Amino acid sequence: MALLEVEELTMRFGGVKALDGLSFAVEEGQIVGLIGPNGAGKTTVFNLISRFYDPVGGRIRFRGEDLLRLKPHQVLERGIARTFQNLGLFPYMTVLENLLVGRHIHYKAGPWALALGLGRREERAFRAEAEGLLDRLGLGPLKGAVVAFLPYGTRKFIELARALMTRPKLLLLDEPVAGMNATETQMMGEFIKRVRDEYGLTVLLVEHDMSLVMGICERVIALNFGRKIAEGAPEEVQRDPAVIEAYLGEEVRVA
Amino acid sequence: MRRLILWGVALCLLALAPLFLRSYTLYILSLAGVYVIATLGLNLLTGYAGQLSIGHAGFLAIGAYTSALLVARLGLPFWLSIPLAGLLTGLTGFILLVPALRLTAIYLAIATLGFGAAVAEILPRWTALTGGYQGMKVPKAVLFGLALDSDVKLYYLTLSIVIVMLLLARNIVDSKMGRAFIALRDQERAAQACGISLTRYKAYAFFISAFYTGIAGGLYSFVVGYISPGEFDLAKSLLIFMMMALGGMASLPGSVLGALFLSFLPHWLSGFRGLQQFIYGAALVLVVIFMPYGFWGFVRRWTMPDKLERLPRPLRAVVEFVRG
Repeated sequence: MALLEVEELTMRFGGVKALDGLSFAVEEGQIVGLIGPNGAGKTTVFNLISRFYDPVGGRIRFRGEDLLRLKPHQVLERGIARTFQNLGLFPYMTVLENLLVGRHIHYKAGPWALALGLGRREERAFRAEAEGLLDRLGLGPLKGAVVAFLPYGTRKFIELARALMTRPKLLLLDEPVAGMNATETQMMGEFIKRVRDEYGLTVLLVEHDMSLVMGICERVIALNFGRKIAEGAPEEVQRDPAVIEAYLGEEVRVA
Repeated sequence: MRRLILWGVALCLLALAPLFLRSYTLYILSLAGVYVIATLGLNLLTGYAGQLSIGHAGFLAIGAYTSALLVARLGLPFWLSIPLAGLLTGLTGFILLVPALRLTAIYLAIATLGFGAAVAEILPRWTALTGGYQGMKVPKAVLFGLALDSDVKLYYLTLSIVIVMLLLARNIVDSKMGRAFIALRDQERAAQACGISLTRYKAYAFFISAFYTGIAGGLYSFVVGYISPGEFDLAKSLLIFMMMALGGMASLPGSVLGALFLSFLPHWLSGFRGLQQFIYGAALVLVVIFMPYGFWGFVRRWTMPDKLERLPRPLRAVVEFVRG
């Protein structure tokens, strides 16, 4: 059984069909890329898995469980963490505090205990853990810095670190290297591979940067107008005529 | 360590204040303490959790009448009546949760305004319970046989409750709950993706905020000794809001400074006959312009400039609330 199964997923925004009977599966342990021109429905897939919208039709199953019965905040409890295209960090918190939000659901202390200051030991343990993760990323010195004032590339890494703090099984990355230069892109690619191996994760990522997709993805799913147009190994998908047409067609329109 | 010494000195000064302050000044200080608690409550809700409220006088009224009635009608000891007033008011906070789950920003503010107005209308009409427009006299507070009948004693009572409430607020703010409040204020989607239930944490925020304001109300009735419906109007809601905004949104020390400042300002201005309202208004405008982060931000500009950015500017925060 695949870890994540998407079946016949259909989504409409007003008159626009964002997804049209999309089906795919993600096997455990893989890094899978979701590509396609702008407006193909990639982020919509993520937002449906996050339960921000209700689909018009179709099913999403995670480890056999029907995800569509969950509320948005319950998705993480099942082991699905995500990052956002335009960053979902909390700008007025420090780097360390952002990471601790990632650990939110793992705290055991209830509200009364928290008000009485009884959750301190747990807090210290998680704090140490977050500091360890930041040190490994080389971001240790930034732990007390306010996120709003950090460079964009750094924030992308911090958001990924926060997702890791949630101890996920499946990581959804929405354009992890958007706006990054070549060096940063390569670093991010290596980092994603490393955490997949170390944490035993499965990764589904949306990305326009083909160097990253070709570099780290083991399988690629190409979308256009809410439909799957190709699926397979990165090199195959890259050579697929339907994919080339989808991309070139778009470029011609832009030009 | 330096902070500990600073707090120790401040505490000693406050504890010794009755030795060198007039009884009237102590009374104003006690009243300011009441507002410190209410402002803390509003700040947890609006400053931290981003839920705009301009109806907190309603909670203050519910707390004040609850504690007064518990002592006057049921003969409960006063020390029990204040926490009970806090709990009951906290439960009424859930009334506002209903609109808060559907509305944001200024639209939620309108709903809270409606709540405050409703309380202000019900109080004078429910004469059997509240004594109507004339208000009601509150029995003297008696603590284990000791009558708290002087301004000095009431001052110490208020001071100790303020300190307890400050410590509780500090614990909340420094915990995962405080972070969840800020998270749902700044990035609802990301907060949910981190496993934070908006419903649950908005419920916590409203309960805690109403609880604080209820405690403040309960204390208010004993400090003043007399309550009437006219005191809990929109002007009072706005006063608490101003205390929060001027002191510093999402700041606990700011709540203290803001409440102290606006409690004493009218008394400092009592000499300027006829010009009071003008100077009062001008002072507020000046503070907002020259201390965009509130009083606490102003203090911190010297003490820790690197952390200044953590305080949202009150005005910008309000603008963001209005825009949603």
